[in-house]
Amino acid sequence: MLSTWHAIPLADSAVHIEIGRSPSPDIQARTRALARAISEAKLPGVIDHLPSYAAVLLRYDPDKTDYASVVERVATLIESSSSADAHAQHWRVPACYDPRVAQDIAEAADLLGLSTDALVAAHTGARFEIALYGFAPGWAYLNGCPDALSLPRRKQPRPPTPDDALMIAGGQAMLTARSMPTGWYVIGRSAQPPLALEADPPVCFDVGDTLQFEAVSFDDWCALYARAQAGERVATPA
Amino acid sequence: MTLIINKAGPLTTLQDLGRSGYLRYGVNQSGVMDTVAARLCWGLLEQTPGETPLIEVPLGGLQIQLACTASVAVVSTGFSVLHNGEPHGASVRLTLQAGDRLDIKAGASGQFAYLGLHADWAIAPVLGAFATHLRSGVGPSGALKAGDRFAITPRATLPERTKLPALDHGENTLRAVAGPQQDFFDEAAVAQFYDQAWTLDAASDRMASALRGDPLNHLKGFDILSDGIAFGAVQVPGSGQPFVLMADRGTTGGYPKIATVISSDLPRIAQARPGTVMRFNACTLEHANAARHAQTESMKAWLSATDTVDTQTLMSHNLISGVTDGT
Repeated sequence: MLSTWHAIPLADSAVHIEIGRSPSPDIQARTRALARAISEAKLPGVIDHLPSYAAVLLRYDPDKTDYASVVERVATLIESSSSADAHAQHWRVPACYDPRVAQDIAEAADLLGLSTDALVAAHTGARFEIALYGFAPGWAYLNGCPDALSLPRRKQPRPPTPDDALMIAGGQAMLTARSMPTGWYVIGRSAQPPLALEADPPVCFDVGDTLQFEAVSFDDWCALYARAQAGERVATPA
Repeated sequence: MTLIINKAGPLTTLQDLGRSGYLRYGVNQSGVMDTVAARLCWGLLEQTPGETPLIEVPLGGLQIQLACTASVAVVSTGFSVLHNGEPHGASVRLTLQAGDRLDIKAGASGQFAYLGLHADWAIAPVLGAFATHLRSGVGPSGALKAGDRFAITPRATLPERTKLPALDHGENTLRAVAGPQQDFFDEAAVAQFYDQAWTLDAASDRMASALRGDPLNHLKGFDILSDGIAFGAVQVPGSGQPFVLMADRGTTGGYPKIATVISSDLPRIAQARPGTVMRFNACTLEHANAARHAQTESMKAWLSATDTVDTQTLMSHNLISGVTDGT
């Protein structure tokens, strides 16, 4: 693997490993590969790690290890880790684009100059890849947002979106979990909640997994969502 | 055997040292804001840090009652503690009998007091921790409120300690190392960041401490590729006004981070009240490590100090400045 990375201490109990400064597929793959290697290696004293687009944050217990030891172990992992997403799975995820659960779909379609059908076709036609979980528990940032669905964020965040929403803004797509105020547009709702706090890991999809959303009717979505709430996995591996 | 919450101010929560191992699923670390006060509280209870949940008490105060006998500890930098109305210092270890009332009230300084029980709680950790992240609803309980009851099993009582030294987090200087995007600022902006006095704004909470002063100019915009955020990261959004990111921070963020405050100085900003004037002081990783070691020693000394005659005036332990202040 190319060694253009660098490390800096985030004070005395965390390390920032920067793989790059652009979210190119290669850099994202190398970042995820490092995170996977860190996860498997169970580095002594490292208590948490967080891959983002092009960097990995590691938290360590400064009573058990130190910056130099952590960076030395990471250097070895970077040299030896393979960037193939060997474990990535593809999922078909039922979703509802009915205005009853997709509160912003008409507004977003207007702003994009699309019919709502065309918006749905563009969203269901895309193959999204989970880039990272961030912002809030189980919120998945998705790579692969079609250009046709690119619109700016709202100027102001506004009160909570529904849970398990499909959102677009800033040229990006997201699958949310518990609702939070945001400046994004809600164009649908997933029948599969990504977050499962009682499970370990507490998410249904891995970073690197790909998702394709399949439009279902409002009634079908309600039935599927109820089954998912009861613990059944309604997303299907493809 | 029950702990009863008689009164609780807003945003009173159960906390420990926060979650580990779930950042990559977007799950916030959360945990206590002031790790020094909290560690001393566990220390007074002769527990390992994080062994039992602590109640983090903000300015609104707390009143509890027990339906059993148990030892409790409170550690704060200036709250008052009343046992059946009898006043004690800001930090104390007491034994409450069934029916006794314990009040924790805000005093002249400090934002958070910590109350621990020498008892096991009948609550299950969530994702390995007792920490509460109210915004996302992750934790064993929501915000505590009057009438809440928790089943507890008291351990053997401990002798009372009513003359503990005052806890003082020292001057309002935050030592910090260069952040991962310090290069988003030119030399003048970095110098301004460290030279200028910053005032803590009222729009501060468990997520972030907001600072106000002459804005910092960005050299190359203020959008970065979102990345992970450490406790103490100093993020500078488009307004040029920095935020120090605290226990409840989001896991990732998209603004450049000019610096990271060292762990031993975070309690200073956690306990500072709005209007406090703060300064940043550049330091190295070696200083940060030395400061942490000095603080650990000071905490041991505080816990083993011979109880003083007059808690407020005779002895004041500065647990942060240690012997390695500055650069």
